[in-house]
Amino acid sequence: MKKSISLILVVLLFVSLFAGCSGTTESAAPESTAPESTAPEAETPESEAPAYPTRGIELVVCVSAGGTPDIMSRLAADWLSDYWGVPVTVTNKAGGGAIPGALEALDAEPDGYTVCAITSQNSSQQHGANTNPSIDVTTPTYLCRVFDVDLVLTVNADSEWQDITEFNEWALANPDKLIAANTGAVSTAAFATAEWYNAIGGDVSQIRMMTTSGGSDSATQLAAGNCTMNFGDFGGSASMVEAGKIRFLATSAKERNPFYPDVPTMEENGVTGLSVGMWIGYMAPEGTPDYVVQAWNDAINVMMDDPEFQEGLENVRGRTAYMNSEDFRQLIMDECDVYTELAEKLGVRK
Amino acid sequence: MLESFTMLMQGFATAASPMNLLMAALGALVGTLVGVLPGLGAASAIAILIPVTSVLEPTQAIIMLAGIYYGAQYGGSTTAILLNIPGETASIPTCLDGYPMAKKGRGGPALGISAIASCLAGMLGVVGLAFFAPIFAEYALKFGPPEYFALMIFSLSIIVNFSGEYILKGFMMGILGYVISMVGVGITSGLPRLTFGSVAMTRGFDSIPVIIGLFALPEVFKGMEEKTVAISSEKIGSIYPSIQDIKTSFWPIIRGWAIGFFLGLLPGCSPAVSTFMSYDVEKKCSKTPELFGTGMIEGVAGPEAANNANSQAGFIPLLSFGIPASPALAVLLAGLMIYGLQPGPMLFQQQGGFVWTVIASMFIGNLMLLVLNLPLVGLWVKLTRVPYGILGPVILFLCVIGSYSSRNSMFDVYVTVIFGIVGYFLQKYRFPIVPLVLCAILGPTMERGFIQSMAMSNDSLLIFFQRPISCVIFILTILLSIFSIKAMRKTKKMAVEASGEDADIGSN
Repeated sequence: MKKSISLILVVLLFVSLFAGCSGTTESAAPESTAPESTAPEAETPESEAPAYPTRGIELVVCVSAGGTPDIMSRLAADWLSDYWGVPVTVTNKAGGGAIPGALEALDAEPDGYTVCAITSQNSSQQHGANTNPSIDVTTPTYLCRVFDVDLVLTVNADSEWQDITEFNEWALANPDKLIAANTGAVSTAAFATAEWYNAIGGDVSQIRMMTTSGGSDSATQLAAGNCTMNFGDFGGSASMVEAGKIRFLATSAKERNPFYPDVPTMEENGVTGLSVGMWIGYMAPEGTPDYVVQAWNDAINVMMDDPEFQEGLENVRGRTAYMNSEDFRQLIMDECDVYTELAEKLGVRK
Repeated sequence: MLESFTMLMQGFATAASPMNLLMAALGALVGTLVGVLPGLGAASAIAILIPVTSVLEPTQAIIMLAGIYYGAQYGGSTTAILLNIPGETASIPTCLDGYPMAKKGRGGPALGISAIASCLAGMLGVVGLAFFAPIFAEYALKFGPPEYFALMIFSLSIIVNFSGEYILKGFMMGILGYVISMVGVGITSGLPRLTFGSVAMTRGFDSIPVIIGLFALPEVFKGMEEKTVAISSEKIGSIYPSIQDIKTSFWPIIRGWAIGFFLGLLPGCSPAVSTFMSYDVEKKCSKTPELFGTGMIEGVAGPEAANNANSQAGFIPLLSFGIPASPALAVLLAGLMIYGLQPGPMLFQQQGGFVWTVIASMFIGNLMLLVLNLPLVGLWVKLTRVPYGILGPVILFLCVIGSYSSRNSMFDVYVTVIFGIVGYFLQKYRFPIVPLVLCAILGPTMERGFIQSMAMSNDSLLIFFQRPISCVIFILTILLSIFSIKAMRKTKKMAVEASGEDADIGSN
């Protein structure tokens, strides 16, 4: 008798658990130190805008801890916590091509207390790669773009190619031998590779791609000679370059990267029309009020002018590239067309 | 070599400063606590503490964060032994014999030996770290995708040993585990598979909720079903292991250290592989392999040593290439970057003082762990005397928190509950659970290794035999499997002859 009572209790416990926790996702913010302190920046005076933020904000990052969007977002979250006096907590919801985490965040209340970090991967790239994309890029409230990350083409240090022109020639002549690392069929690396190969006059469907578990894994595979080239961010390749295992050939950015002024751009070497890049911005669920958008933009602008923040950013080789809500939305819409075309060439559009 | 020795000595001098000692102790203590609470893993603890540590100078902060990391590795064994909850995958082998020991009233020695094994292996690991780090570069890179695939197949060959006499059931469970690992977004296609149209399923199954569900929940259900008294109302036994215990455990610790350390050098190799392998090796070396799973102290000492050696060795790929072997190390990597310490060979040259101080502090920290924890063993042991009616719900609560916090997702809690129910029936009908878990964890690495190898070889399977290291591993796998099956048949026969009935060997 006693045991059946215990079993019933366990069942009841689970039932209450399901009932209590389904529905909204609770933000896992720790207790705020000063939840009552109001935002110090100027609010729009004409409207009766409520004070924002008055409690902790959950900042959802759809990659695992340690990835570039995560490191940058943690820096921003740290700064914003101090500035607003409320905890801005980074929550990693990785996996599934960065899409499920974003969908979950977009499903939250549009009150500005759930914000999601986005990159091209879970906005324009997933749109381009799918005829029926999981995330409808037209619906979210885009807050602003904050960071920009340059991409660079790297090859093994023991290889014969000393500059990008030599490599371009070889790559065009030997599509059957070229193995490019990417971090997924739909990833910045895959798209950057496709765009570059297309730009030098090659047919992307002729080359082979090796999918790795992430940027640092791509660099490792390249250093070991398991693939021929990798398009990644500077940060992910820096350790291996310093170790003398791989070599930077050229960056696809418009200008040389300030931290690596010796690395030429593709454009300097006659490869033009490259637009695939990596940026990090923030979005909120559809219907998020304007005062939230305003508060974020105001705060981010103060943050970018803070020398202390810039110093922290330099440590991780990051760069701010601010875009306001409108421009950011436009950028994503423009990119959608670019990625749709590239995805078709790559043969990944499903 | 001599140079790194001098550097290490200098590191000790800096690490012994009061503030650095305090940080190591603090980290070790917080780490143990975090490890004891299932689910609240080192990764989340480090992530939470990175912003807090920004008031410290970089060296002190990293010393503390590293302390949390290896402290948690140690702490995880406590719940594994006393409550059969492996806080992480690597602790599963500790459950297999640690929990039966606790049930038999030998929880004290089990905890004691796990503390000693962890400390010894940790310290030996630091020594290895000091000497191997500089010459590691070439070795690590020779281990490419074909070698990883071969290593994974090798790891899977130990399924045979974990299935006891139910080899067919073992393979069935293994395949089920592999199917579970495939749920999510396909590696090369980028398309969702086996998700049945659910968005939550596209993230795949995280290993932590699956493990907690399969190991901890069935235990609670069983406890509720069978008895309402404490897990172990009998005597716990002396906290300090006897001389005989230490003698029996000495070689397992050394072997565990060697396995853990060398597998730890491989970038991206799961620590679980080393603990499972160590457990398997101990079973093979033992004169009484049929007694494994019933509370053999070697089965605790070996895997615990492997686990800690592995966590120390993991610092080598982390510091020299920035390759994290586990989620916790990935967060630590983020911490290093935020402090402006870009991992790589240059780190050893430019920030030599920092690197060697951290390494030396880990040596001291491991010693501290032992000093701090042996007296605390008594406290943990008292846990088992709490009546099950109280402890059961508390364990359930911890399980729910643990599975939620692994990815901050309610989906994972449902996964735990469902796997808990599944696990209960699997155990009842004697389906071995370890093969399922092993395949579910190693599946993605194996799949990626295979697909990457195919990209390298232009779809020729010969690549696995053309590369010397992978070829050797494959041959070893085949030999070992034949040996295991033969040995298993023999033991079974002997056991049947000895006891006159169909014995249950080695299945959990």
